[in-house]
Amino acid sequence: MNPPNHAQAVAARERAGVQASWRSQTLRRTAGQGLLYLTLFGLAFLFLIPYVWMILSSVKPAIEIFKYVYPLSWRTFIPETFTLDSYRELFHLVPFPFSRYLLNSVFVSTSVTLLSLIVNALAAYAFARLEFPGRGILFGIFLSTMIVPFEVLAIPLYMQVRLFGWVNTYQALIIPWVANPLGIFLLRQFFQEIPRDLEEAARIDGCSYFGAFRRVVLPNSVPALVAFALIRFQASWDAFIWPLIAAPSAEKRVIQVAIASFVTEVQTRWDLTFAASTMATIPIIVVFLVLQRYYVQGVIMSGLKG
Amino acid sequence: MRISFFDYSLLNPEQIPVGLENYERAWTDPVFRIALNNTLLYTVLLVILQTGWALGLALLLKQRIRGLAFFRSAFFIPVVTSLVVISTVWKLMYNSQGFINGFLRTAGLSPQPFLSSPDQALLSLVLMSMWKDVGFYMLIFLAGLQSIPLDLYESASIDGASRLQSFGRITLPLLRRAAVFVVVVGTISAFKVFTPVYLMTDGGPADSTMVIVFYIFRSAFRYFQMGYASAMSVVLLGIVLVFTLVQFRLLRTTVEY
Repeated sequence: MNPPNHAQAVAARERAGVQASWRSQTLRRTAGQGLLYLTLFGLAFLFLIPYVWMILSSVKPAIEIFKYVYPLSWRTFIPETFTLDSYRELFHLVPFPFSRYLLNSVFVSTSVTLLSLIVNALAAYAFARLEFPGRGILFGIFLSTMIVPFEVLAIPLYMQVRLFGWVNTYQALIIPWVANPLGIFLLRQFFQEIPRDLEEAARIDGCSYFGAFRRVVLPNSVPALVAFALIRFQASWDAFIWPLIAAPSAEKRVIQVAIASFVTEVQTRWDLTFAASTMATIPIIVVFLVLQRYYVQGVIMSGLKG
Repeated sequence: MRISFFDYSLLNPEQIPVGLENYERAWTDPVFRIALNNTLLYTVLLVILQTGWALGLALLLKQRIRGLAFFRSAFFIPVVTSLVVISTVWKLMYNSQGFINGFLRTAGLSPQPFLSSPDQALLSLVLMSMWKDVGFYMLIFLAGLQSIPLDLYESASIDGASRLQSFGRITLPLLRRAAVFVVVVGTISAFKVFTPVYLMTDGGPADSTMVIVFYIFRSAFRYFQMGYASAMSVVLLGIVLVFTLVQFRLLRTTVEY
């Protein structure tokens, strides 16, 4: 046997072996990837199908909603006849059109968000920068109120609001939610990380305390402020127990209570319910998708630090 | 809290001091017992299921894959949807005419009563709540996973550790903080469940989904027993405080790495 030939043969066999194992590895990796994607798409489907059903049912005529449930087919979801009747009817409801509830919610949530941005940012700045006696204790008291859940406070808060004669008013829906200890905590953390020199430079250039806050601190805190505003807006938009207790009258009803009142009625109009749910949901999801980066950051901040 | 010591009804403006009577009543009230038990069962089931699923989803999304943003958003969308809307839509999905039963029948299985059965109603609520909240806890786990330095895995694989070993020895211990958060926050929020019960079952059938906050609400705002409802609120506060203290204790010991 020729030695060089033998060596060549061994090398060739090794090469083939390496190639084969490399191929089987890629094959395994591709199979693994395929399985991963299959799982992920399956899960995403489970998370999204209720929305698909809700939106598509809202553009069906009422009789079609439950018509094709069994056997399951494309017609269970895809409307045969496309119609906006349920939306049209919602805007002509008596005593109030649905737009009234929608506007109530927009007004209340916007007010809560703006007021709580102002109040909590100012408070947070005071806690971050001003030296005053009892600062630590006061901050501790603020933080400790976070522990008591709203569900426990509902009854005393309701009594208080009744005492003020605020039942069925916008104040009752807005004022209790302006001060927010979590917001003070998060914004204070953020303000403390801004270098003091920046503010001092502004002060030397002739800015007042408030001027330095407005021109230096706030512009540098946009991500934190956006995250906080998003969380507040969503919490206020989704609030249900409190508006149900404090403002049940049709005039001041917010969108969540309005939807709930459809559901708990004796004869539920499912077509209207689907249309109303879609309107209450889609704007929030769009806002979330656009501002996702801030939102996720806010959730993680409030989650891990709080 | 003061109200809890009075026989106070909204219909009768006079407050009659009754000492601890409201608390005694809570102690002997069979419905309050049922509500406590149901809340506890709901909480235990929900926390176990959602913590497991949240960790699983986070591990799936930890890998570098295309379309990550899409999947993360998909899992997170229920978190930013209001509980009122979710309860409404799921009530219909669980309905005998809903598409879950349509699916079961098409697959040749027998349809299930879900919310209208005392045996299945609470579990149906647990499944729905898990679907809603799991994305939030997944994010917490993802943040925890991203804070683990990659060199740890590299040195482990150089030392010959298998992937399973490095998961058990590195990932899990370093996720402790995130896990404690997920369990405690999940427990506290599960204890306060109200909206799905109000909209989907009204506490029934046969009190099988009667939970604490719903019972408090019903006593206060349907039967106007403010004193009694306040006493039960104080009990709820006590339970939540205990969990919060546990959280503080557990989070104080952090793993150094």
